[in-house]
Amino acid sequence: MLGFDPFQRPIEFRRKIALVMGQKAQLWWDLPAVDAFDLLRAIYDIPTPIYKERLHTLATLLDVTKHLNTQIRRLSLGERMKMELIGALIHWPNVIFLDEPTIGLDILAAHKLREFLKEFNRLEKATIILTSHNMEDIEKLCSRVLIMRTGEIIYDGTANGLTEKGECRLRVRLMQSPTVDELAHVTGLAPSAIFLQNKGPEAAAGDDDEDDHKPIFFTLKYDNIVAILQKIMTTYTIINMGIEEPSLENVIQRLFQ
Amino acid sequence: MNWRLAALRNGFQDATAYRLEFLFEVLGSAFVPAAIQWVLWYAMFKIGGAHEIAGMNYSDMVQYTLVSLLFTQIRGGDHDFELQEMIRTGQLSNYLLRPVSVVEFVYIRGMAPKLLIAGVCLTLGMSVGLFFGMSPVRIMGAMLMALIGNVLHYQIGAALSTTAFLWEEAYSFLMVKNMLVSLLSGELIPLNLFPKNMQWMWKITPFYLYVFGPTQYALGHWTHTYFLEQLAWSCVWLAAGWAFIKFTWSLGMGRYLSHGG
Repeated sequence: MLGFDPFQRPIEFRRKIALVMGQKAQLWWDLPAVDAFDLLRAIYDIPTPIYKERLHTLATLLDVTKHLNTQIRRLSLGERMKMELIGALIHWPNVIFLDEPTIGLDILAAHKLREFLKEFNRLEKATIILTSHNMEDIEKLCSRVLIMRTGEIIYDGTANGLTEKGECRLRVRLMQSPTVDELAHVTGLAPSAIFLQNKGPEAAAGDDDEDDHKPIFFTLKYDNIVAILQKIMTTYTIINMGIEEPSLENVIQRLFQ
Repeated sequence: MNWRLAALRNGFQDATAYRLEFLFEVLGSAFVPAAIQWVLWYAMFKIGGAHEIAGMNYSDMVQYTLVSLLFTQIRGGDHDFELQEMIRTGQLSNYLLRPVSVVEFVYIRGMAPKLLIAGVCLTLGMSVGLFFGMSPVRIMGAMLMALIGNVLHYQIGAALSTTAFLWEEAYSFLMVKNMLVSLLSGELIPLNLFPKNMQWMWKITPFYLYVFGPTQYALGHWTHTYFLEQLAWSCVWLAAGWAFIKFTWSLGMGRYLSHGG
């Protein structure tokens, strides 16, 4: 990476990278963030005027200028994560590793953080490697996605590439409760293209009084919708149906099934 | 500013963020061993009627207790516990990516309050020592040895903390080390009270250089030559400690696994 062997951890390499872990703080609990940044300035040997300018830029972008002199322990989780980010970026790294940066954050804080990362990436052209279980982080931030399963890369491409062109999700609720195999047999689709959803976020699309009937999702091409519906209706009774764009979360779920 | 100075400053700010807590910690750690010793000497000499033990009378014992307090305060802190916790929890990853040595960084941050205490103890020892006819040169030399002892203590702890790479309960290992240090450093009792056939126990470890050695020199019980000889030994221990750290950390790093956030 950057022409270095990461395992050797040469000093020059360490000056060019940064790591932020959502669950492992690197700032000191009892000290104000600015004291920690001051120490990081000395560690990375950043000239004072440059340090001040960077701190101003980062604190303004993240909207935490007024909290710089507050003890870390007195900050909210979102504010703490923003301070962690400033601490990681104050030396202007070329490669930034972010491990679950939005974990535990409320919607507004997570949104602000994503906006900041986008802006920082646009301004500084730094490579950001983001590890996340939050699909919104990935959909909104990543230009390249790598999916790993048991140590192997099973996908390497764009987020859009995960959802094939012309593909959609057909959502139907049936009077009956068939299994995935039965549905596959009737429709002629592969079992991996059929997903039975229990009550949850996906079920919210339906009415409350229909919660007893699990929604079933079929991933298929737009051109095949009518043919598949006809096949379903030969065996089952449809209560309602809808067509959705496939979400990244569902695509990844399917990849792991 | 050099990063080491900045780390010292940061460590001092961190240790004294709650000033009263810091003060109580210092006073408490001085009071407990002193109180234990005083009760022991009182029981032996005043209640038990002893006149001399291992060549020391009641006044010698009280003198030892008071002077040893100056050096007990400088004895190593708990930075080795911090290291093993970092290894165990994976927090170490944060530090491994910084362009400084993690072992050195943790030591310097943790050493900051001890340096302040060393300064206060030195001033106190020299002022009170003058009143009791103690040599300022001896007190300065003794403080130097105590500070080397502090580094040694950390070196041993930092090397032992690498057991956390293999074993999640490395904490107990460090606790046992600290208990041995309390006993064999001379912090609780003068080491010449050990039975003759057990004296080897403290002589084979460097722990006596933490408190017993500095106290003996400050009280004039060690000659300058013997002190210099012991100082040379402490440098040998330092070199061995450094090699021990290098060896254990290179072994441990090969096994380090952090599961991320």
